[in-house]
Amino acid sequence: MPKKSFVVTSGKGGVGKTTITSNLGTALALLDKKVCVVDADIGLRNLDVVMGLENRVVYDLVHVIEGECRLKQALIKHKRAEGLYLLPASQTRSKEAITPDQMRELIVKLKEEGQFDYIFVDCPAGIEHGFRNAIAAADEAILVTTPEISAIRDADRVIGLLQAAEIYEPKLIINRLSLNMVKSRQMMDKEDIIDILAIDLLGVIPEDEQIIVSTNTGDPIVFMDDSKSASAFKRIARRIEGEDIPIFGEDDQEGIIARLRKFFARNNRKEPEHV
Amino acid sequence: MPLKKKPGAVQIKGFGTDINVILSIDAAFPDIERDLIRKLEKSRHYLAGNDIVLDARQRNLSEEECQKLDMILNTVFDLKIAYVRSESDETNEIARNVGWKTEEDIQKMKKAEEPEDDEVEDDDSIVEIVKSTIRSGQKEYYPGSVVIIGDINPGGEVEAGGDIIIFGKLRGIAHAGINGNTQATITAIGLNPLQLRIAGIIARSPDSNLESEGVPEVAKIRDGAIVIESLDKSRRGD
Repeated sequence: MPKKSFVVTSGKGGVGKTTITSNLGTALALLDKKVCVVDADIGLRNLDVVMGLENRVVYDLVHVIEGECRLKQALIKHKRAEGLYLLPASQTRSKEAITPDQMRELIVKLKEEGQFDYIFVDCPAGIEHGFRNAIAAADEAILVTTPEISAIRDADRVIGLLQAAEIYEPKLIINRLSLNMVKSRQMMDKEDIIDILAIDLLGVIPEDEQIIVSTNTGDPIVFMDDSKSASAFKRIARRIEGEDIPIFGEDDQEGIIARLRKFFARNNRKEPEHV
Repeated sequence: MPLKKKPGAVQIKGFGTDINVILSIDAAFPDIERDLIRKLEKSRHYLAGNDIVLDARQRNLSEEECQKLDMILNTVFDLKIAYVRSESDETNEIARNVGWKTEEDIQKMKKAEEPEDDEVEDDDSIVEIVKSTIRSGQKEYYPGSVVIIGDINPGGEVEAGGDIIIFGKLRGIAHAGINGNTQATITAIGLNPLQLRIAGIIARSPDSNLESEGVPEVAKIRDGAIVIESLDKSRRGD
């Protein structure tokens, strides 16, 4: 299988790029793939923190690019997931410290020297220099949005910028979807979002409080078996691997509960009309 | 030979504060004289009063030639020759006879002065006191030892040639003895670092959340590893 690099991007901040990068990386590593997650958010690095690897950072991406260390010295092996590596960003430098060309060279090096099956680049928020660095070497893009109009607007803008950079057909992940709120029509459903963005859906991740616990402890949520979002991440990982499995919220299990809930909701709503 | 007619028998170049007069290796001496006079004449106004480094390179100079050059530079143009640079021992010897200094002489003189400089520039003895919190993304370097009145937050980094003493919490990275001083120590009231580095040794925090008890602790190298001890004597048991 050819080695592939993805950029995880969104335009808007705080929609879950870093969480998705770390969990997809971990989920694919659990499928016995060799995965490298790269933090391109130079100056505001977070990926090392949410993966619980902050205390291992000695060298970073800028050191590698500037030739101060070898690639191998900067790669941090994950403590639990076999085959998962992190290339951290520099915290003390700025996005202008590297150029898109240097990023391209780095990703080629990761593919050839590092022999990684998948490379995920965690893109910084915004559409400036840091964004252009992050997308420079991407074979494909994963676009993250939440069901909020502001995030969708930014995502739409990013699709255009990606096309301008010759990255066509980004794959969409809708994060923090609350099925209950969708059902009570308080939240946009995935169909509404796809209708606006008109790109392929790669997956839906449900709203999950456990994510906060997971990022704070530095253990990716895919290690927690009872979590709602963990299974969503694992599905997306398998879909990236080429398996054809249903999107979260579309299978039967969910359907029965949802149907029952809808049934009761309808009954409750009808009552007042008769009073 | 066409080479002799080349105008480059002498080059005048500025390196830092020195003005170098570089002599061509293979030009005839009369050409050098002529070219030198012509070029000095041209740049008289900005050369005046400056010291000259006469760079003879591999060219051998006779005593007579040296005296002629001395005449032109010193007597005619009032330029002092700081020293002569030559790769030939003979020329160096002749230069000394004429009363010039060679590059070797200058280096010897500099060496003789150095011990004094060392005492003045002993960086380890400088102690700086910093009243501020070092936040994420800040990286501070101090050539000597440093006392920080404030915290070092995660993502913040302090490097020092000597010791690092923190009147506050160390939650980021501290690197003491960065130039290789293995005697350097890191002291903090709350020692909860991501990493401790002393000289060339790195220690990282354990993955389980072990909070320091809030007593002052000191980190130092013992048997090639970084160890943490309480500063409180009663706890140390001595």
